[in-house]
Amino acid sequence: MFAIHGNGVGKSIAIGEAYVVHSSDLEVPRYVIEASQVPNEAKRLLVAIHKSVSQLKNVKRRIPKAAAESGAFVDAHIKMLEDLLFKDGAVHIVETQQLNAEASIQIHAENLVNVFDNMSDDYLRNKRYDVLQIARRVTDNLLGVTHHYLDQANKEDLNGKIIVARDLTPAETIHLKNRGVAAFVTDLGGPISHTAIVARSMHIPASVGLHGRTRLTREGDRIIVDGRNGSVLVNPDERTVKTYRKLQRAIRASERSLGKLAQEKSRTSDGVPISLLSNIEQPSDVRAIKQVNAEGVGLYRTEFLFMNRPDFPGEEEQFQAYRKVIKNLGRPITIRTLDIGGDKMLQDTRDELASSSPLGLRAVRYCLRSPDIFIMQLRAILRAAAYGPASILIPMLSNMSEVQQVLEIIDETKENLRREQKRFDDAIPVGGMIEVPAAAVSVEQFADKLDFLSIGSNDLIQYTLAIDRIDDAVNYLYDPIHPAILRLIRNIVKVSDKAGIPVSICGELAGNSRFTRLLLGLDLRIFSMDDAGSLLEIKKVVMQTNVAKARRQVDKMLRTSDPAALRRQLEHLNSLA
Amino acid sequence: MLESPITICNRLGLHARAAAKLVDTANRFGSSIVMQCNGKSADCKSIMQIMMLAAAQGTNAMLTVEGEDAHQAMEAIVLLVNDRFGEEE
Repeated sequence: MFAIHGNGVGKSIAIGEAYVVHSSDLEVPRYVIEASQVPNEAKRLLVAIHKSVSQLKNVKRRIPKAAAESGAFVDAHIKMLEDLLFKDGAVHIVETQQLNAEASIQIHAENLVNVFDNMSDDYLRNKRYDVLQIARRVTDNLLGVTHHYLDQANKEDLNGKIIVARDLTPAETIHLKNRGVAAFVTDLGGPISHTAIVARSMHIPASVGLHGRTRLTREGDRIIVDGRNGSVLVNPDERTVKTYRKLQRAIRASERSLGKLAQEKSRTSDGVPISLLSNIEQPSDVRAIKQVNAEGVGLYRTEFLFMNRPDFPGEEEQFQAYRKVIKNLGRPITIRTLDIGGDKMLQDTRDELASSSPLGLRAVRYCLRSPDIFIMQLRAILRAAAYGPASILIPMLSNMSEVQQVLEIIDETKENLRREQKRFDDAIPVGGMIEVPAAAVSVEQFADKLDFLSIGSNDLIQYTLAIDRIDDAVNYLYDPIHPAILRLIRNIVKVSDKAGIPVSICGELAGNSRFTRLLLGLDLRIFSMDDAGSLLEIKKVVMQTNVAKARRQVDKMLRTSDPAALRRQLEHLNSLA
Repeated sequence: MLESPITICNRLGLHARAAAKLVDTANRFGSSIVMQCNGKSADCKSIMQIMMLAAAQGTNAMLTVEGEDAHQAMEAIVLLVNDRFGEEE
């Protein structure tokens, strides 16, 4: 047994088996071989293909009869590997371009993927993933490694598995939902990285930012992940497992007792009503919202509808998806327009325009640069909003010209829908995310033109303190109680109240009970958290908080400059009766 | 040589699993079995070739079968296609 440590996410403990995932950016070696080596290299390739076939045949044998669907997928992959068009095509590249087997199989797969990408039928185009997956298996066999991939084709049983990876991209994490995954362990990422957000939304623990130490774990190792402190115990002895099982039971019991709070009114001890909302990424997340009886959805991250596919979803598909969520939810929902770029790349050719830099062409910037895509989404949202209370939220606004452009496009879109006599919500509220410091500082101007504001705490902190949330070497600078952050939030709330428009807070802060009283003291009344599972814990703190007292303590904090003193004041605030 | 027009009627078209079933069926016969559509032709015993036909729902194709067991082969393939490859829709 040994322990490794990262940043803890969540408050629970998971015990499970390591499932090591291939990092999507693994480089495939590529080199020219000598002519005399061609037959050997071709043979190496064929041996790897043969090995891949035997592996899949083994997999197929282990699939229970009931899961015939996954068996059929495996069968198709076996046939593809054995197909002459696949085998000979790859060998042909070894022979004609004198390239090593790994590079040849990759080039061949890319050529095949191009053929599929040009197909007009959505479903048939998805065959690209089948090709990529068999090619990866062959590559792994050539390199002598075993890794899993998280993509469409992954139909493995992940129940109770602990996902170990260098990093998990949003496109990969989407395949992990509703499959019983127990925890994440990753080398990259900090407390507000995407992986952490997803873990929270799945209500599972994670340890992120292990700095390369994940390589110490092997497939199938027994692992304990303690989200409370980020420790990861590899191959623990029975006694340790027993201790942690006990802890696990205690945590679950206290969660169950929180369950009773679901039907309680959300108001502070001095009677101030507080709206507790949750964020969703996919239609299936609605279930968790209802379970904890959240007032609604404060942030529907629509970009997940755009991932894991080679094209953009059309208006009709988006309309159907949004309408379904709105109808299933039956409570207010705020739909955020496409926020790709930064750490949420689509990872295919559609990214050409978007930037992976958090300061680059992303979110509303991307949408205004690609008006067709933006308008298509706005039409779908406006139409779906006719079926229930919905509003539109624009991410990453930084100046009023963007606000004006967005409002003009929305007006035009409405005009067109009217002309086409389509049913839509003419009175849909349009709000803006305040997450860029420029917008936070000049928030009066935004409040003047928009119907509501939402503070994106993760980005606001990252941009204000100039820390890249991807870079875990600067995570120590992530400080939600930095005086600059406290002042910005207080100002945003003050301005919104004066303008008479609602203001909410979303992001990690909203769902972290350590900051609930702080936010209440900063006069926030609407919280939208990533993890519906933390909503009841937040409600419990809300019910035990006297806002007037909290406000007095927060006022004191706003006058404090010493970081250590600030931390003490926060602790004091949290300990107030 | 036998020829017969067929229509791909399952909702998902000739995707990977459907193509795998087609190949399985074709491999039971000695005859050569070729499917033509969208200006391309594919050997029904090659899953890659079948998948690359890009045959979506509603695609009209021509089946050409040649060999000693051509009749049985044709019958089996037509049955499979019309049965939507055993899929529900």
